[in-house]
Amino acid sequence: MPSLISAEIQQLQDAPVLGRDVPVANQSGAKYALADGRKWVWKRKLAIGAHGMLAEALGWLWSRALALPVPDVAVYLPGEFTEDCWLSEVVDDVRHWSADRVPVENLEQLGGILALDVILMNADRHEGNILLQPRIEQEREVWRLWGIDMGNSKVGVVDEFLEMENSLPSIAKLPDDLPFEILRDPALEAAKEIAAWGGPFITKSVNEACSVAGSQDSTVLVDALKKRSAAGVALVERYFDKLLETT
Amino acid sequence: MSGHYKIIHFLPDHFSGERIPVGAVVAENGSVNVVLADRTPGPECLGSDATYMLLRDTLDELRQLTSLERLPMSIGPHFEMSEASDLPALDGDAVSWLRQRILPRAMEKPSSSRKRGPSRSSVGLDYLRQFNVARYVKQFRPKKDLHELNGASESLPAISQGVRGANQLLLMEPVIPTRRQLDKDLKTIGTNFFAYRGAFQTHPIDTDVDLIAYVTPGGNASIRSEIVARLGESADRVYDVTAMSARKDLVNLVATIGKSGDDLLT
Repeated sequence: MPSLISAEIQQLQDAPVLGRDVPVANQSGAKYALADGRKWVWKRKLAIGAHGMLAEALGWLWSRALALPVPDVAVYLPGEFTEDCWLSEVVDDVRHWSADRVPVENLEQLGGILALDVILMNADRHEGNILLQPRIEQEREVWRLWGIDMGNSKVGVVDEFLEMENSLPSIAKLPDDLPFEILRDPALEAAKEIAAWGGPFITKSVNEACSVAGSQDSTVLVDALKKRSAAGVALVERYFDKLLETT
Repeated sequence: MSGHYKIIHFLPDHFSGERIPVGAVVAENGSVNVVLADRTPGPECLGSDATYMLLRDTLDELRQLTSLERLPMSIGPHFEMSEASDLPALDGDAVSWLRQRILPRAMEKPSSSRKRGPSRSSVGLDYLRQFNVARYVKQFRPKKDLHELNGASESLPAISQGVRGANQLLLMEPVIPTRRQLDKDLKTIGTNFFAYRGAFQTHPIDTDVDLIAYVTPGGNASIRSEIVARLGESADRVYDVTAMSARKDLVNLVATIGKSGDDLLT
């Protein structure tokens, strides 16, 4: 059972100092930024919308509850749409997913990330949202995988999400060189873990995410996510069946 | 003026502003070429083994560029291409000019501490490790591991990976499409496989031996196809593991043969 302690997303007191643009296409005006002595990727609420903030926040809270590899996050919320922002800590030295980088020491955790994508309806898991970080472990070169950017998950667009019921996210953007056959079991394990969470954690995480995003939809979203989580294992099974048929 | 070029910069840290030119892409007379700098910073200069690993591995990937338009998305945020510049009128070729006049040049006395990338064998083993079959794989030394040939195995070359089954032996060579010495690798693998074929014709053995090459992910489709074609005669089977069906076949084969060998021991 994940933590029920409130407010896991760090709220910054001071405005971030903005740097250069993140040099990757389609990043919603993302910039590098410094805040609290740390390095971040900054996205303005004005650019990603309240739905983007909600999806990012919920995606991060659930990722952390599953102990998935996602960077630390923070928000700066002075209360103005133009100033409110979402920050994701910079992961040093990263490149994007490519199957030729081996070994990936935590590859199986990508299964959990995909399970979360299924349940929260994130169809945006392209190669740029799977980071690989080089590491030297006991004099051996390895890569560590990180998942980023849940901002386009349909869970953030609550009205649409309520209508999705048992829909699956599109697989069109997934890198076709992912080894889906070895990610299926870890994905199903993650889905089972989510199904076992129960109401208190879902309620608490949705409340926190809605608070960060300034959304009033927490009650209906809690109900929808309880149903979606309960159906999660079946959804993930169908998703992987589709992936393994297609690739 | 007959073409233009873009410089590829490595940005070790997005906050320091440091930009290191590590290569260039040049388009001239309808063809695109990549030139990498003779000199790139080492781990001491970059301050981190991990940062150096990122640079070193990505340089191999940059060699495969076929377009001046943009870097592939997989390269990630630590590499950027400059705006295009026109080539000046040149007596020689543009690649040499870029290497000698624009990009950082090698020291006259090369450093003896230059770090090398991982070996072909270890990259292959790391790949198989992800599919939980690496434990069946051992480096294959014919003198020690091919007892069936008795003394005739002494002249045979080592093979990167061997999987010993109950009555089957897989001799496997991983091929890394992005390696600088790919052409040499293919020649070596082809020659070595033919040496084994010759030995088994002269000294037939009861064990069923498969000579297998597998192409690890990376590189572009045309290079991968060329690898498969070039090894087609010397190898019994060549697997391009970017296809899930080929990957599954390879992994299942290693697991099945390896497990039969384990069962024999128990």
